[in-house]
Amino acid sequence: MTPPKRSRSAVTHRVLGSDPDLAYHLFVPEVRSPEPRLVVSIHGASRNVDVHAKLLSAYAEMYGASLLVPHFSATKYADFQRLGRVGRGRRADLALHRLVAEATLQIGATTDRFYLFGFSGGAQFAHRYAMAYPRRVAYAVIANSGRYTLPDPEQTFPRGIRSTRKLPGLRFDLDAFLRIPMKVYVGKDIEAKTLPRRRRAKGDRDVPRAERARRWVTAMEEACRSRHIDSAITCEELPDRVRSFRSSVLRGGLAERAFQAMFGSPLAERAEMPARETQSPA
Amino acid sequence: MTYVGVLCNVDVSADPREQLSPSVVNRAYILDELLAPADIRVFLYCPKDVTAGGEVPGFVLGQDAPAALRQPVPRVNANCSYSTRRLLRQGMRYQPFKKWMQERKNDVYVPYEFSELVSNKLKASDMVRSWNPAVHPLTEEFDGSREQLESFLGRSGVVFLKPRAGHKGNRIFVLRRQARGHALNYYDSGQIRCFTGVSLDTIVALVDAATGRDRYIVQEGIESLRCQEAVFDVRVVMVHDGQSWQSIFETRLAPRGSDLSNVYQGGSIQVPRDVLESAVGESESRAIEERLHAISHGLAKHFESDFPDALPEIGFDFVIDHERRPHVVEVNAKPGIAGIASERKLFDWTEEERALHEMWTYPHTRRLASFLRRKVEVPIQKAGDDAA
Repeated sequence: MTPPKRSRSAVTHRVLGSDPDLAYHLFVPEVRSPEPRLVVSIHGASRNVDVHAKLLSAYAEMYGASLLVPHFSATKYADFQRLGRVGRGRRADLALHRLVAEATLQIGATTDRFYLFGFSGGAQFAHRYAMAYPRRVAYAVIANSGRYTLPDPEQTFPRGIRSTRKLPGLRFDLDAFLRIPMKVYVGKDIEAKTLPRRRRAKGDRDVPRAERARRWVTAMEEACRSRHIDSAITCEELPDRVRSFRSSVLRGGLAERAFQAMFGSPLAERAEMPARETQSPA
Repeated sequence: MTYVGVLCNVDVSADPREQLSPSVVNRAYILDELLAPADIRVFLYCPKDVTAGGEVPGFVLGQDAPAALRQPVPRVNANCSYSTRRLLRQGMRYQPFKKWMQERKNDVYVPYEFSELVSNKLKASDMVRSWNPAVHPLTEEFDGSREQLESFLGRSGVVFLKPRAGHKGNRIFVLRRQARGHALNYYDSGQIRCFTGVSLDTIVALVDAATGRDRYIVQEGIESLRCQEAVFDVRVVMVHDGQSWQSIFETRLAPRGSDLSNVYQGGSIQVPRDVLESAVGESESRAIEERLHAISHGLAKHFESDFPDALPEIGFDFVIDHERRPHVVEVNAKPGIAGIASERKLFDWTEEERALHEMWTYPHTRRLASFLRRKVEVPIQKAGDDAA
């Protein structure tokens, strides 16, 4: 059989100029939305950055958004889900700052805030990053996270938001992150038993991911109420069991729902199309 | 008493009437009833449970509840199992099972080799085109390139990307050129994902990520005739009664806006004449039916030439283009019972459905019963002749 031909991809694979250990995929649409949109998608433990980039680039193109998919390698960023605590690898939060800075240069557009999308382990990172840097995040999509950080100042990170020496310099601004619009997606009938043993012993052994997500959303809503903040977090169930990122996007409609939640309708469907800003990638 | 085996995904620890699909339950019960006068009974069993010693647990049907039974694998078997390779990972595995059956001269209808041929859409396409290239749209192995998609888009306004070994209309992409960019629809398990105004490079990347390691074919799309603004296809189920081929027609109407009429993607079974007459009028409808009849018989004989006396049924899915030309877009080794018998088990059939079952279900199963009966009886007669 002839070897398969592969076309040039619309998605480019790059390495951070200032850190060759930090790679990322970048997609820049030919036609962009009038307001700058940068979506950052964070992979889970499987680190399938290629699949994230290729599947989400189609949605990014429809919505005129640029897409950045960082690759937190297993060797350098083993603890990326919890932002990278001391002794457990590099700081993933700080790495993302550098990646976003470089990506915005590549895109040629300035964005104060970006749209953060995380799946599974990436969803753990995404909500924790949003909690730590609420002013950088315009919208957070938390899909199929196995664990959550509670908006509880009494408990130390990563269970709660009390600062930890393991993440030097990190402070959580509860009032600010409660105001970030967030969408939580869960699959049907997930019976994940992925909690560490020491926590299973505390009674939440068989709590499915969907239930854990609902409990977290409830905790966030209660925190909003107690601070007189309008809750901007919602939880939605996908019409399919979550098997993988690929199946969540293609069968469950995860990306379709997430992009709609973040941006409304695709560019082509807008009744009154504003004059488009057409740019080429730098 | 002789048994005809019905290979299916039955679990011996549960009632087969509850666990099996309507298609298999109906087929088994009706075959059992039709074969009973010849002192032949149906024996349901799962290929994974077959032991090297030749026995297998299963069920015999009857007026009352199915009775669990353990007995030798019957010599004549109808194949209603699906995902057989995967199923047999729990048993003696696929290739050893095939060999084991052959060595014992146990026949399986349809033969596994035929299922293997037809389940590979590229090979099935080659087979059809070797009979008449005009009746099958151009089909190639998808090489993942933009150039190949552009080439197909140059021939036709619609391009299909299908898993080479897919079924039920799942995981199919339908690509179209638009005024700005391209539109891509993805179908899986009754869900549709729509991508509009996207570039071909983005589509190539998306398809690459979505298909993973699975092999795909790329197929020239046919702009189908429509009925009530929906596309439809005509499935011609060819059934062999042991002497000759007979054809049974059914039509599947897609949901509006969908490219696929497969029932698993939301399509509905319709009476062919109603749909064709609605689409093209009465006289044109007859002419199309005649063309479908001629092509299906020609193709059935063509396939049979490689599997003499071994094929009880074949399903051909046709799309009719605007020039009223039929195009074979799928070949099915196990097309299921024609018509609505796949929707509900016979215990729940209503009197109003009776005419539809007389049109589809009974003609199909009568011919299958005749085919199986001949397979059971012919060697007996042969043995008798030899003795004489």
